[in-house]
Amino acid sequence: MSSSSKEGAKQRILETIFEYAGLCHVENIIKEIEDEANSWDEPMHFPEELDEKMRKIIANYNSNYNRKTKTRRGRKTAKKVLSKAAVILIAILTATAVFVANAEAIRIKVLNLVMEDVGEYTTVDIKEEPEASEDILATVPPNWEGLYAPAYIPEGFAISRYESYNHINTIVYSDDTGQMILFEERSREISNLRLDTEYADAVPIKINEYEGLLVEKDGIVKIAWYSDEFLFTLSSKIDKNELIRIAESVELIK
Amino acid sequence: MLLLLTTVQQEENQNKLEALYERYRFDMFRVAYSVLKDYHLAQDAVQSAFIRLLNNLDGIDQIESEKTRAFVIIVTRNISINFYRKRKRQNNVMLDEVEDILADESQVIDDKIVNAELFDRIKSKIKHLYEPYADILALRYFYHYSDKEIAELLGISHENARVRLHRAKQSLIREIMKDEGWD
Repeated sequence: MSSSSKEGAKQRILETIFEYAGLCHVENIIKEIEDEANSWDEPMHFPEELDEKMRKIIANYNSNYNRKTKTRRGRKTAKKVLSKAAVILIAILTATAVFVANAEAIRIKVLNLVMEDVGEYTTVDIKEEPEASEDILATVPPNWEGLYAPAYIPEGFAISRYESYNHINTIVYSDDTGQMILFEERSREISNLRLDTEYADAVPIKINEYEGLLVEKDGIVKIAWYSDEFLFTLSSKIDKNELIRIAESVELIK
Repeated sequence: MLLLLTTVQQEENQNKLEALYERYRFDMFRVAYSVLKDYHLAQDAVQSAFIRLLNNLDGIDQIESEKTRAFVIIVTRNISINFYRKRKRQNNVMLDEVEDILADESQVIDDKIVNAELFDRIKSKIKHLYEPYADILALRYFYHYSDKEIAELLGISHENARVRLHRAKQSLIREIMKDEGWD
């Protein structure tokens, strides 16, 4: 046996020793805290002022700590990214992203947005809207009047999820093989969008008469364009010409 | 969709936080008070410890488990010790001296420490190990946190965490080997 493998084996033994020591320590802690708690003659008083502060911290958790925990969670869960969720990832990426759209021009921001950063979201259960009833159109969710939706969707695709939330309207189409197409519209007034164009093929594109951008990265095609009122994005792994066709079919639902 | 997803996740985290607080607030305060012997300082320590836990919420799988309970206590105890050190510099010197003494002693890892009695010996020795050392060993080898994560959890520098862990290992091994026939 080589000396390096012997040293390696010793190291593993040591680590086992330390792990066992850690386990014993944890058991000791539990025993001590139980013994200590039982030794108190009266139930322990928890300071009211502390209780008040702590409850405020918890109540403010979302606004104060969400960003930090998202970052940490993203690192820990990035490894769990599933290939089937790739389209959702990109959709979320586009949803979060900022497309700086002003009246004069589209300004493309090249960012270091990476999939790992949003990997966390793949582990979040998606709250599904109720199943679309059979009598609705294949491409338009119910109660979508006044909003936009594609008039054309490739054969085999149907609405699997839709959502209208905080001026962001999303439709997800999927087929039997798990392929997905994500369409999203959001008001330009509230929208800034950045597209990840690093290491990606990004080309300007016109969707009907509107300027936009087509980005291909890791087999996923994204199209972003804006009208006078709305910013639209489409993401999918399907053929880009099909995606362009879908984009060009987007129309106001009356 | 993003907002919905994040909202769902935020609510889950907030529920987790509430459950964590309700379940362990008395333990946290008791531990902090036992270290600090100061009602107000113990409150500050509990608050600080809770924020560390809050920032590490994903590391907590189950609220109701001994593993989680011990973890909460370890974090609270170490944060309380930090407060104690800050308040009383003379005590800080005392604690540092303990670490320095341990640092001066090099420990050779020998085959003879591994035998049938070993695990009984570990169990016995860890009980009497300097608590911050036992805590950091548990965090590193039982909870599997990295040195950097431990530093963040305990509110100490990365270097301090690394050194403390090294000394903790040395100290435990030395204690295991100290009894008759072992050194």
